[in-house]
Amino acid sequence: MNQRLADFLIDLAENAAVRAAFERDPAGAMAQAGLSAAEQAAVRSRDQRQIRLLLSRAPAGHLTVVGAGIRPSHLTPEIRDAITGADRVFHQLPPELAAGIQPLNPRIESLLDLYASDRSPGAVTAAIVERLLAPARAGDSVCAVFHGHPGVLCYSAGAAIRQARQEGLEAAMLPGVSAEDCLYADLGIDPATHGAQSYEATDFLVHRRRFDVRSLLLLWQVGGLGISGRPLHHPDHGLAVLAETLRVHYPPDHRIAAYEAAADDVSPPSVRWLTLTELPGQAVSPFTTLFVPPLERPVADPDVIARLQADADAPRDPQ
Amino acid sequence: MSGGSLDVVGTGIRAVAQVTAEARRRIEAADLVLYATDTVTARWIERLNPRAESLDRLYAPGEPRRVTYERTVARILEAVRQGRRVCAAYYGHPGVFVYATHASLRLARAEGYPARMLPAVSASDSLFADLGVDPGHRGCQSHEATDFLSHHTVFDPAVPLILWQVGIIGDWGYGGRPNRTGRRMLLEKLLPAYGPEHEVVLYQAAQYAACPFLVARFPLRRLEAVPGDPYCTLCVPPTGASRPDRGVAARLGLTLPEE
Repeated sequence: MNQRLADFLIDLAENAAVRAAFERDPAGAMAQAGLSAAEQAAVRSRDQRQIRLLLSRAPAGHLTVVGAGIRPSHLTPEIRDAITGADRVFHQLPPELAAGIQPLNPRIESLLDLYASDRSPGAVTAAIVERLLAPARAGDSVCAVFHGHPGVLCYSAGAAIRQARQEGLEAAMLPGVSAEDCLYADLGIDPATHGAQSYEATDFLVHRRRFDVRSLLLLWQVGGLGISGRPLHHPDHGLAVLAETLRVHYPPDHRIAAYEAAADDVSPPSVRWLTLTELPGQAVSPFTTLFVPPLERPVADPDVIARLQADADAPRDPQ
Repeated sequence: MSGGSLDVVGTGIRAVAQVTAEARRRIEAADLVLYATDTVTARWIERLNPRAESLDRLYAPGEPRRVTYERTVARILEAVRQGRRVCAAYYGHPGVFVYATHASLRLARAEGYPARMLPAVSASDSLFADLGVDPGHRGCQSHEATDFLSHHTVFDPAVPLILWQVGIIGDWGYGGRPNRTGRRMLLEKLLPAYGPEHEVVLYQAAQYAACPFLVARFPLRRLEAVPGDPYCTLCVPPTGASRPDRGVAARLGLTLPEE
């Protein structure tokens, strides 16, 4: 049974104040009662079959996937409201960020216990999706909070949204401040100036992604490249393979940065500038990103500019 | 009054709803807020801190962008040199598609003033959330549309491609009529890689509370119908599968499925 809708119809029947409010402003009164968009539409349609159908089912829950940013002070009003207003909150956050959201809702649970060492990445994703969707199926509004931006390098967030929609549940994602946002702020780079190309490092190498050396290149998760535990100077160490690939396109003295955003509000970011030759043998963490600046300044083709300009300067069509 | 300082902050894409806690604190505490935001955020800033001044008045229609930008940098630096704690607040991420902020920070630092940029939710962040594009999945290529044409930018069709300001491609004056040559040239550049029926997405982020984001999907061949709207972004989903490099995969210890 849809208790929420039933309660509202009881109020309409026996509470004169609610009835008056509904007659004055139906949408406002129904929103006040917490009815969903579908429930409001059914009541407004005055279609009793539709209302009966909704009454017979548990109300649909929904899933909101949000990003908490990289540092605790990255929380935005819309994320705060999403956490505060949810029936259930699940998170996958480092301790500083988890502590920041803890006061916002009494029903906050961690997802980190699902990362058992014997579980494959696919199994972890499936377990996360299931934990998020089970309460949503039962009618709860569920908020899932991820580190940084929930849509960036976060497979389980996207998988949960796709699965929710497939089951007919409402699902939305709210952006958070990402590691990429921090990198641009900390390194003083505008990605619009030359364009930006961004890759997960293993994907970049294995799929031989084509790129333009005149645009900036970002490589994520360089710490996850290759077989873990391989000695730093092994020829097949992940960073050695990466340096080899980059050397095809850039000179050996091209300066790149190993970047890691600050995890709290007082520490500075970690920025290590080095040449391509120095890349193999560097110690990198799981959060290290490689920033490869453009090799040269792109030059606008004067012929293209002239053709565009000619159109812009042409007399307007008579209207 | 102690020495001046500069904090550059972003107010996010959805007005007021995406201001980070740290950006809000800087806006509140500043001796002077210099802002270039949408009108709703501008009003919100002025309510939060009356010592606020719009940078829009430095902009004159038809003037080269470079001139506006130099004037903006000069205004920001002037206030810092007066010994004030200045907060420059910009729409979206303050370091993305903004010329004046990076230059102001460099100058302020060179003159010995504490200067810092705080990150914010950008237009890309909104697109990633609304369209479900994860740059970690197959990567992401992001270019200003006119630059993409005039720089002959190399791209990979197996990777999502995002073209900003596609509505004003070839339009340096902002607000002229849609540049047909620009649309045609872009179509010519994309067609060989994707084919005429490849579905592309025209996207516009939600800017106000209670407004949904906008999405229009159409085949690539209809690209010429893109409206002359500066807020429109073109997202070209990837096509085809790339062939993995088995040699590299083996060296990295990955097992790929048999072909």
